Amino acid sequence: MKKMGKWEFFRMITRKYGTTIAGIVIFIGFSFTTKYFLTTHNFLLMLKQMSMLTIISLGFTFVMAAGGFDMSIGFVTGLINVFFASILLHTGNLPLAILIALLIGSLVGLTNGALAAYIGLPDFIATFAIGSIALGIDMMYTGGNPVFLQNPSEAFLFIGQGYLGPVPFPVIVMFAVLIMALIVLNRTKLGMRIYAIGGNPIAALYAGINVKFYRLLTFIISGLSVAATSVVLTSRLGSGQPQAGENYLLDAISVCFLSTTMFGEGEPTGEGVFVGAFIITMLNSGLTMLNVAYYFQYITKGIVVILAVTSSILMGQKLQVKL
Amino acid sequence: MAEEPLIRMRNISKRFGGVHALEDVDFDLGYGEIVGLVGDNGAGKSTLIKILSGVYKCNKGEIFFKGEKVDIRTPNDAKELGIETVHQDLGLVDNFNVAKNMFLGKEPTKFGLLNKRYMERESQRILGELGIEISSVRLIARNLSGGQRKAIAVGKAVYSKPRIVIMDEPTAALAVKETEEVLKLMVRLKERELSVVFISHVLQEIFSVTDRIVVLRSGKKVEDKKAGETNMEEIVRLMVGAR
Repeated sequence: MKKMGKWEFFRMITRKYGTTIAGIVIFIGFSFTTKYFLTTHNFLLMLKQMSMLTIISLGFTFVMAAGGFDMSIGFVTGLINVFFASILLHTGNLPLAILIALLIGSLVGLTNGALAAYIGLPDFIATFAIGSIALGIDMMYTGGNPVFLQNPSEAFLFIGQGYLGPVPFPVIVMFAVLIMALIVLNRTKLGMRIYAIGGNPIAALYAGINVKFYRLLTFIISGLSVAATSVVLTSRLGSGQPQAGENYLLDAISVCFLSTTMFGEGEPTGEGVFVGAFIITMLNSGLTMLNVAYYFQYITKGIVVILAVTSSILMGQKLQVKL
Repeated sequence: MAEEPLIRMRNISKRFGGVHALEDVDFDLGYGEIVGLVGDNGAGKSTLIKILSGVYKCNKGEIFFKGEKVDIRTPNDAKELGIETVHQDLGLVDNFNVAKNMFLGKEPTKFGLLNKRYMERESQRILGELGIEISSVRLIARNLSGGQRKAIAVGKAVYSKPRIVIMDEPTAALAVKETEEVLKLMVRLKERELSVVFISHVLQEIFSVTDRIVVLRSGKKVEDKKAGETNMEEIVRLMVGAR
């Protein structure tokens, strides 16, 4: 190999770490322009706020790493949210409610995977339709009304609102899921095959990999992460909100696309998701502190994603995700 | 033919929509034999070997392995019989490094985790044995030259000690020296009692290494002759269908 020139080295660094550096710049920017941004309290709060977004995006990462897409996550979050709350309300049995939440999540994933991977519907269409059906069932069941929990148990509230020492419990859940995702994606046969399918499905087929089966698995993993997110969200809200979670779709897509600009060779990564979720959450937090109207935050987020992805393409990064 | 060949394909037919890609093609491959498969573009060469390697399923026909009828439905079925293929489009994952590409589908693990060190060490060894020069097995496939990419695909196909290696245009777009290496490799495989199916457009290459030559034209087999009993002019005539 020829020696890397100065310019090439600069490009490599910018390509792999540019988004992270931009994140640090934004962080420093907010630290100077707002009074309470750079405090331990706000830092922990941001970690808490980003925890659910990170968990749901990590599931999405598996689908996207295999070259797929999951549009259903937003509405399914709402669906599981109300069913989880409702089961808890009627039985008071927390482990049972969590189990059923996970079951619904994996069933949704199974359906998405069956339609997209086995029958061959475009991912976008299959998961969009399933999301729509999920919203319909959600609304049919609740009539659009929240499910309020009478005297929710301590254990239930702890999931979304508790603290272990100074650290919010959802943050611990987030790091646990993050570590699991990193191990599976980077260190296991499953992760390697998922990335291979996303990188070149024909190569994966030639290598004797059951592409359909692995794609199905990624949708189930996404469904499970949606369920985990919903459980934390329900506890945090203390009730089942039919339309909770709708924002997660847009945010998770932003986070996952941001992650493709970091660390790897154009594929979404777990590390990238963590940094991406932090950037999105930091923007929400910082802009709120600067008293920027909430609708402007959507515009900012859109611009950030465009900037990040554009600059990485200009730096020679080839985006792996195709739609 | 007295002796039962290693592979016997009989009456293989394959349609893509209304197009007959292959019609009643018979194809044999003996032990330790290099068979050259030639034909013009669209003659059905790649289709035939994709059926043998489990990428396509034939609409009609039978495949016998050592005289026993086999059903090759997936690339894995073919691999289990010891059939490895270097496809024309190579089948490399661009954003994987060399080592990961070499072991895709056969990932070594240790305590359930990928054994990256083993992958890197073994890839280095295998490529070295094949005389393939790559400075590091950690290089990303996307950044390699066409010759290097091809070399990795060949290395990947032969390291698992297969019985049959199918090479679909392994020398296309290669430099002269690299082409020679691939041809030498085929002869070495033959010396190890492996059987090789070799597809190429360059008849000099075909004649320099093969034992037998099979000519396809428009999805039909038009000739099947020992390499020593024919010549380039005859093969070209058969390929293009001129009298």
